[in-house]
Amino acid sequence: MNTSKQLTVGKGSIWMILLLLTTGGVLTSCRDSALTDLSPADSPVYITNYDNSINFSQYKTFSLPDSVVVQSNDNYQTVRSNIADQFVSNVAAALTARGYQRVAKGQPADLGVAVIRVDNQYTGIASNPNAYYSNYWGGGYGGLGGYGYSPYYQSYYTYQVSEQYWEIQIVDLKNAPTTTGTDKPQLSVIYDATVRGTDVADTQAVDMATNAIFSQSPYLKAAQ
Amino acid sequence: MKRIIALIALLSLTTAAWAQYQNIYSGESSLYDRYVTFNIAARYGVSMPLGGQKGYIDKLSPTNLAIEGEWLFPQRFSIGIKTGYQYTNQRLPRQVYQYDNQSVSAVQTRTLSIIPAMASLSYYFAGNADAIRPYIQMAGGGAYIDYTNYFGTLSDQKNGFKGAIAPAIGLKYYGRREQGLGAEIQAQYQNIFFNYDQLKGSAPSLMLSAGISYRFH
Repeated sequence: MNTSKQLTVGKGSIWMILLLLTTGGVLTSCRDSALTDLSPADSPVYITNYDNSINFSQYKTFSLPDSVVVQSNDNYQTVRSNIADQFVSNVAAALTARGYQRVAKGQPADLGVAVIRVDNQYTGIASNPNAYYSNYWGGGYGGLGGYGYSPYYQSYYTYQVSEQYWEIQIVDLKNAPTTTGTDKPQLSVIYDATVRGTDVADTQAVDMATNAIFSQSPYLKAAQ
Repeated sequence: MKRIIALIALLSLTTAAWAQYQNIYSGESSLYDRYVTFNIAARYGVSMPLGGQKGYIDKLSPTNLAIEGEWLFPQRFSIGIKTGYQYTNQRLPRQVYQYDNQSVSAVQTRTLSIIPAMASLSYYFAGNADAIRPYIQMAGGGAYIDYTNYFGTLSDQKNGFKGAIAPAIGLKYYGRREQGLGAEIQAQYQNIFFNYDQLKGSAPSLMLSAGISYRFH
């Protein structure tokens, strides 16, 4: 009698612990379905960084190519497309509305603006799409032409993942360091904006992106 | 005032009846009073965030499950283990968040998943074989907590096993003495010592749960 009782007690414990363990194991995460109802308009994330030691009112002019550079894993090329054109014209319009004046290719400017489309970028890439921009901006700065610039970021957060996204980069040409020989000029990136989370699929999405980016960057403003 | 007196009278009468009921059986020795026996319970709960957890997700969570197993000792106390699954989420409209010199404009989908793993000690105000068993409980241990805050579709995630405490009060109701299957309700305060970005301080919550309870030997 006693023995049989002890046996039952033992079985009970094991059964109870097994039940707890299986229940714990079977439970799957509800978190995975958290985004199923996220609309396309709610998907993009607009991230802007700026160098807060810079007074943006010291600049008057900017240089911005009509083409967009598409940066892939190991090369880059320039493109014109509806979306690219819209992106460039929106950026130009927004900067103009903030009091900056756009200059023609090769003319000296205070700010160099780059609109970059990043495709499948991974950490440690070797290509330097910025050669294209420094050629475009380079007119007044002999040293820039042909060599590309290596963007110098302040303490910005950087996100380098395999993803496609758009980036707007503004470098300081006014206070560019003087370069000698074949050294790449290191230009300070004083402003950087990226559109993350989802691809920009149509011109409407471009408008949303540039509106959001510039409205969260009130410091981008020329002296009146 | 009259109402209060009536209530007290009613309470004392029922308590007296309850004592009578217990006395009838006190002579009979139940297996529950002689051996270590078991109780398992599964409850569904609604959880209200408090403190830092409320700062992160400010709404009731309807998705909570509590699983509990106890070793009942003849002296009206029990030692148990408890786990479960608690999940809560909230979508926030597009806003701009400032981090130093960075601005992030995003629709946030905040989620928090918790799997507690705690040991409990309970004291019952009634015998192990009784039909109605109110109790107080102190549980402590840890909880696996997953904080995932989606900015659009990008996630900012932090997870880990953190210390946690969970005092509770509850009531098990079996219908009649010695019956195995019963119902249970519990009110539990839980505090998990976790903080990250939008969840500041720690993660306390109050959970009210109801479900089934089964005792056996």
